[in-house]
Amino acid sequence: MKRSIGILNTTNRNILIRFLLIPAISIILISCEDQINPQLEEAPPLVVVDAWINDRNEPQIIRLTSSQSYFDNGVADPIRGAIVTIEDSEGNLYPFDEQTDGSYQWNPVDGVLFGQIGLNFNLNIQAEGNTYTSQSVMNRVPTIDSITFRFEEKNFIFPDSYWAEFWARDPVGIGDTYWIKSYKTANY
Amino acid sequence: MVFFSVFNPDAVKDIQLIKGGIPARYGGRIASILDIRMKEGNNKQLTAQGGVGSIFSRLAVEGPIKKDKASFIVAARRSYADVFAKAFTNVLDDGAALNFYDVTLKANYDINPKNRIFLSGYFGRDNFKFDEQQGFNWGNTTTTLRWNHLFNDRLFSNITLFYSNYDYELAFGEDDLDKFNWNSEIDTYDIKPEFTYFINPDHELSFGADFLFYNFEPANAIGVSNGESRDISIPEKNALEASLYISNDQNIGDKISVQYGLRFSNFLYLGEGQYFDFDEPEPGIRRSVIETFEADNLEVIQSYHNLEPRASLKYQLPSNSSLKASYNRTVQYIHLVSNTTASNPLDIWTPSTNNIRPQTGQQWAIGYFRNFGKNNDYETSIETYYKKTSNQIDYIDGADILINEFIEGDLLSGRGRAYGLELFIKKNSGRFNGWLSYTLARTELQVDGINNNKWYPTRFDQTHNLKIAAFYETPGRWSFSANFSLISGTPTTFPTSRFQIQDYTIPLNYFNSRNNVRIPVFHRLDLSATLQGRKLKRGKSRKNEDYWIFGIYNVYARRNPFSIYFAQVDERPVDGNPVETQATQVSIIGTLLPSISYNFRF
Repeated sequence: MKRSIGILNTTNRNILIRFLLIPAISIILISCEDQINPQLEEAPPLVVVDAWINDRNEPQIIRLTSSQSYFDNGVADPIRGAIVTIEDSEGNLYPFDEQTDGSYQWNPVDGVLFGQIGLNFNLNIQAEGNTYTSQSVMNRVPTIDSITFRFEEKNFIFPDSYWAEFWARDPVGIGDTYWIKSYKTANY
Repeated sequence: MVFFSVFNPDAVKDIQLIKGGIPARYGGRIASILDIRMKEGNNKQLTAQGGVGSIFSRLAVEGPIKKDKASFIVAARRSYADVFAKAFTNVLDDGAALNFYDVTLKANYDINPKNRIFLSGYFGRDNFKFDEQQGFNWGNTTTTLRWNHLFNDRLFSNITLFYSNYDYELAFGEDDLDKFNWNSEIDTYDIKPEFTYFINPDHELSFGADFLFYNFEPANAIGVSNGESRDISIPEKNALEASLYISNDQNIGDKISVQYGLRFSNFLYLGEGQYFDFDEPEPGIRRSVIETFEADNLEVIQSYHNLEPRASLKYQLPSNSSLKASYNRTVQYIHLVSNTTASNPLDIWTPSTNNIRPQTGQQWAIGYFRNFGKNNDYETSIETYYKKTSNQIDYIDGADILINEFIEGDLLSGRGRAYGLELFIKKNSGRFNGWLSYTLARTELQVDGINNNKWYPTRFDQTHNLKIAAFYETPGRWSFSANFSLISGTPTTFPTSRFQIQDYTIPLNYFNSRNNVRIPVFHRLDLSATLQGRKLKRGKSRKNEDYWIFGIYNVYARRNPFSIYFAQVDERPVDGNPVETQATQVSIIGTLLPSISYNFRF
């Protein structure tokens, strides 16, 4: 069971439409694809904050990196020396400490987990002389009853494949949106 | 699709493109007008013409219904794209289809010398199916009934009833428990009484009216997941566009001819249904509904009206040359919403509403025309135009234009300008003839909330557009033709940077610019050769005519870009490893394509 902070605005409908339209339109008649290398405008780097904070009994990690040029295929540079904290609406302060790889981490102490569902959280970052703040809520997610697998023969879009489905009941009320992250052999 | 003219040449008499000096009888669009006149069937005898080809086949039959009184023409075409694609891939094996067909028909009846009736119709559809139940298709249907009546030698009228339907449909899903269906339609009903009065040989007055009723069905959509269905349809929208016009064609002396007129148009956005008021945050941010209203059936939600003056002048100069100048104001009450550079058939149209104002355009054009040679062997022209438009629709960054009831909150409107220079030269005579046209142009928009409020090129901006057509007829049975076109790349928006969120690489346009780059230039050469059948058979002249056409499409196999997308290469990167991103260009028929057809007439 995983709970998380984070809001995802994409609705099922959009995922469905985009997912269906892209392959459909790209195979009208006979198409071919080539990798190209267009010249892109140079842009200064931005601070990127990436985290998936939850209330599981595991280290909570916040990554600070710099944005890079689109065709720069290296690992993004971490931003070091920042002060990173989260404070919840009950006044609890969670400091995140810099690690050797440049990420920032908070560890559960004596079984006390991060946050509580329904609370508001304020993220505060001081990095490279600037202060960045953001707010979020820890939302509820339904319990997964079961996960099923079935085999589907190849069709126009997909090769022979196994389809995994999870079963859960959406809680009563509106406004619940979920990010379903699937993973295979420990890799999302 | 790329192989077809939208109009079946077997059924079309002539096509006229009116770019400047649009007469007052035309309305409803701010771009140019394409006036297509269909052939009337042969009223003496039954004839047929057609062709059997590797890409498509066509057949047209015409003849009398009642000799000298009534005739008909029916013309049909069908493509073989699916048959053709099956040779390359086996994915079309379970009921998949990929084809196009259309049928054009016209019948006319001369009741008496003063009354004639014309009935015509068009039906065309593109089909694209993955298998028996999945795929998409789109098409158009039109029906026209026209009554031509002569009151006397000087006054005649045309009363036209017109119906058209445009629709598209998508269907996905493996069975009835898991599927998604979406269709959209636009129906148009039109009544158009028009009168022409010949005052004297130098003076012709025309006047009339036009009543258009629109019914939009933006989306009828149902998704079913594990047997639970969800209807996400958007309610219908109705509108009525009514116009009156008067126009005068006049010759002043033998050198000057003028045409001037006025069109008055009125547009009503009608219920029933909900309509919305939106808040006004800063431009470029999605607007949210602050109030919802209910309108009864045919209740007027919003009305607009406009005066559209039109004028054009032609001045005959010595030595086969003339000068033409024009001004016109045009209004368009319906809007095309598109956020893609690649053309696709799923057009989203919206009427003007209480939140979307009608588009207006004003155009000034001037041109110099000159013919050379004894028999006007060469035609040349140079024209220039400037056009100013207002209430041009564009959308916010990250707009959601598909099945969105609150689409108005994602749209912005701004002003546009377009200007250009057109050169044209045509050689009419001789075995070797052809034409060349070149346009240097710019089409730009300025919208508060887009591109930092600065002007940017639209996706229709073509800096250079060069077209060359050449024909050569040998003294024998062979003739050859070549067509070349070159068009500047379409402007589009590329990212500058990327960043990583949870192993997803997100493209970022740091400068918030719109259409900041152009995709590569488009150019293509097509060649064809025609072999006429023998005119004589055993010394006698043959009754039937036939000929072969051999063609090569895209002779030097240019991979012209259809679309370009940016994506990470590995969708499941290993945590902590570098993620590779690249740009991919999709080309459709990026190869040379030979074709052959046998054509006949009897």
